[in-house]
Amino acid sequence: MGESAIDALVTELIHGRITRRQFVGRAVALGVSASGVAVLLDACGAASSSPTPTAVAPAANQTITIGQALDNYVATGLKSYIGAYPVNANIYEQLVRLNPDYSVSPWLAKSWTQNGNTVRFQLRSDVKFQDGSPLTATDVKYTFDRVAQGGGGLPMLGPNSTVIVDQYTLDVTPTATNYRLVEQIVHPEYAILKSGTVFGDPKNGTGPMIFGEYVKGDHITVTRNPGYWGPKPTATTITHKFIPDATSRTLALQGGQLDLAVDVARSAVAGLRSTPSLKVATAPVGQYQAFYINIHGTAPHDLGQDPAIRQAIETAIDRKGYINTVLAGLGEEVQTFLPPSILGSYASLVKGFSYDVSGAKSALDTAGWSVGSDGIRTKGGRRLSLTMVNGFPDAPTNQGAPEFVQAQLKAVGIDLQITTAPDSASYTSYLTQGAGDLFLETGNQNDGNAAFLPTIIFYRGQTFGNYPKYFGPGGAVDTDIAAALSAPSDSAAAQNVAMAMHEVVDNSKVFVQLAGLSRIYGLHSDIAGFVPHASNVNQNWATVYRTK
Amino acid sequence: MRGYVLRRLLLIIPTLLLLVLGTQFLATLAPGDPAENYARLHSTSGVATPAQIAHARVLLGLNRPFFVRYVAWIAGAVHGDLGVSFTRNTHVAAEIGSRLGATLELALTALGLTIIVATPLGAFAAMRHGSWFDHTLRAGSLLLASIPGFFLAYVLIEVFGTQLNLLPVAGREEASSIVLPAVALSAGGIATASRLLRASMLEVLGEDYIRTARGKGLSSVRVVARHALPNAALPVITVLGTLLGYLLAGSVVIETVFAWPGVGQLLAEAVAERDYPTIQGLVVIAGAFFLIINLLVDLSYRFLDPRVRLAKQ
Repeated sequence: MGESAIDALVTELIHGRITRRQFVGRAVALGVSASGVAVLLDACGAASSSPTPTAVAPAANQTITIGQALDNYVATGLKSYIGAYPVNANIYEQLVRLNPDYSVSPWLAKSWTQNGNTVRFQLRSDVKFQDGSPLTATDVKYTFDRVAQGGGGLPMLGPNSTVIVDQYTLDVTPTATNYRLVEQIVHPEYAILKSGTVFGDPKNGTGPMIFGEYVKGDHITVTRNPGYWGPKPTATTITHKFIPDATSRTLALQGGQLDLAVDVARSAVAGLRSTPSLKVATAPVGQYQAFYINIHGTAPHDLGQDPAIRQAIETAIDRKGYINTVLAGLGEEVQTFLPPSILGSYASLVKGFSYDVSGAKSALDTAGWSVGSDGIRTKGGRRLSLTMVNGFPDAPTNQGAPEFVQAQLKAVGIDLQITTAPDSASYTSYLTQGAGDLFLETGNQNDGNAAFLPTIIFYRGQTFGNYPKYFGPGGAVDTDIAAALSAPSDSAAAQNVAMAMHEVVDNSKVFVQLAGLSRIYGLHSDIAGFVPHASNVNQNWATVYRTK
Repeated sequence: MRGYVLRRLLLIIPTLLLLVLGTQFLATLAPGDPAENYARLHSTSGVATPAQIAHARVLLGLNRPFFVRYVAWIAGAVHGDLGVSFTRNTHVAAEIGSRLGATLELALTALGLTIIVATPLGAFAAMRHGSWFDHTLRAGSLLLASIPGFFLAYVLIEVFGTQLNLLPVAGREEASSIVLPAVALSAGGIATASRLLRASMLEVLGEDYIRTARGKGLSSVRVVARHALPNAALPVITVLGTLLGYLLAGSVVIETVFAWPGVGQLLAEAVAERDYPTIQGLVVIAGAFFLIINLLVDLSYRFLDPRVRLAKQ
């Protein structure tokens, strides 16, 4: 498929140069399927609540300031991704791109073929780095060998994994069986560097923006790349300003210091919507808020081993009420932590649970947990008291969730103690020791691999991390995830993952989803062309421009 | 005098050594494994295997006994080497140096603002003891001292940044960027110093030498400026010295709210990342600031108060 032609078409639509009707007609002419057109239109509109691109000509001044959260760039070493991750300033590009619906498209690679465990990539021949030199297979090998030096990453790249076939062709073979490589390397950590350079070096990317200035803790500025191989950005300069505090970021937007603010406070959304000069955009669901039940803990954290307690917890939570009250309506009921689009039609394999207080009480009654004088159940002299650990990525992010769950569980006779970990390092410490019954998290899917999160959290076959030690049910879950990792097609992988999640949610009841979350952006009404991505690290800011 | 200064300077050394010991001990007690954190940050998969964590423990020297690490750190510090950041791979001294300018700028501005505002307010309230101005200042300073810093910061941003659109609300790019954080940071100091100065001035204004000065026909302004204020300022200077120590250590809350890239923000990041060398470096630098400022405050008494000079002699 003519990817650059479709890109150009999307840009035309975003910039308001063509109507949606014209877009559909031309996209079909380029061979895009009806569902593909719908996805593209959805991406351009991003969501019903997102600002619809309008036919407004760009203004002369095209300097844009975007308020980002904390500056988490590592400055040196192999994990240094200045300008690429976590704030993607669009200086660099990957071989393949993650679309807002979590599908994967060609990017610097125009095509690829899977031959067993080896993927053969065919590079575009018209791509130039910002210093004018062409992109070749040597640059890709340099980049992937650099990843291998750092441990190989989730794609499991080794020192001999990348083999150059010719100037624009290369083979990549993971060190172990991994058919999900293509979906994994959409992450900006695998962006392609000019051979011999590192992230943050001026003029070494292939992207639409050129590195300008980076002041740690303050800002990173990028300028338009006039020689960009794809659709040229309209913005001349984009400054990503780091403002860690969400309230300050929102106020800076309202005060006009920012043109666009990332992750505005949920409590501020109504105010922003009622301000005529401002608007709110929401990305498709890519984040999740959920907690895991410790099913392999030792006393006093062994109550999660009782299936009746897990059943009661699942049905005692009013997810709709949670979204409406705690999240101010800014969330979606979804059954797993995977973005709905990543499982496609297989998402329906996971049934989930309805809010059923009497069902929860009945499950506990049947299991012999009787209500005590204080309303909390006991069995054999033991109180039904659980501990929830809150702290990932940090406690304030999950604000309101522990207290909501506490109140809901109390209604069925379960006492919930809340342990607040001050930061993610403390949280990891609790997790490593299994010192809790329920572990509350807000996370994000940032690649196209449906098996990514299930592998980390539930797959007992993995050798890193502590999650499966406490949350991995084993058995069919491991079989299904292993099958997903070696599935020859995305569709087969999605099916296997959906089967694994069905087992995790519906049968093992080890995972309790609270809500699917969308990233929320505030922007001035004279800012156009913004297409929110469900994965913020894959956000393309280069489409943003100013109309006034 | 020279002997006194030398003795005080020498006392700083064991104090800092104890400070380092205490910091290292508390860091060890804190939950969270820095080796795991390091391994995870440096693994391109974002998760760390047990082998990577074990490797990181050796690499960071965390496998060495507590006192060996302590002595090694001290040995490095005396040569100006505060270690290498676990998470940034940069030299801690350089990292602190790159942030210190912003904090110094903010701290000194806030201190200047405190002195400029609190001095006339406190002095005037004492001169007009019992007047409406005096009552207003007492109530106002109590209110100001009771408002949490972050709340005042948001109010300032809302009023001057958002509603009136007069001042930038975040960052350090424009010269005017310092106004709001400096005001927010100095508010508590202004409240404390003005009340303290007022009380001290009231005491001094009742002294015989002030009556004598008035009896000689000196103007009120001259009496206050020349005779009352220098004597009343002593307790205020002690408070301002302590305040400056706090300000130089970096205000985590104010720097975070205003996105001010100083050492306060660095400290918050380092604690979250269990970056022991950076935490240790920051604590030692802040401790050294405190001790030196305390010394300077004590020395200033000699010049401001003739009684101290005479006692020393």
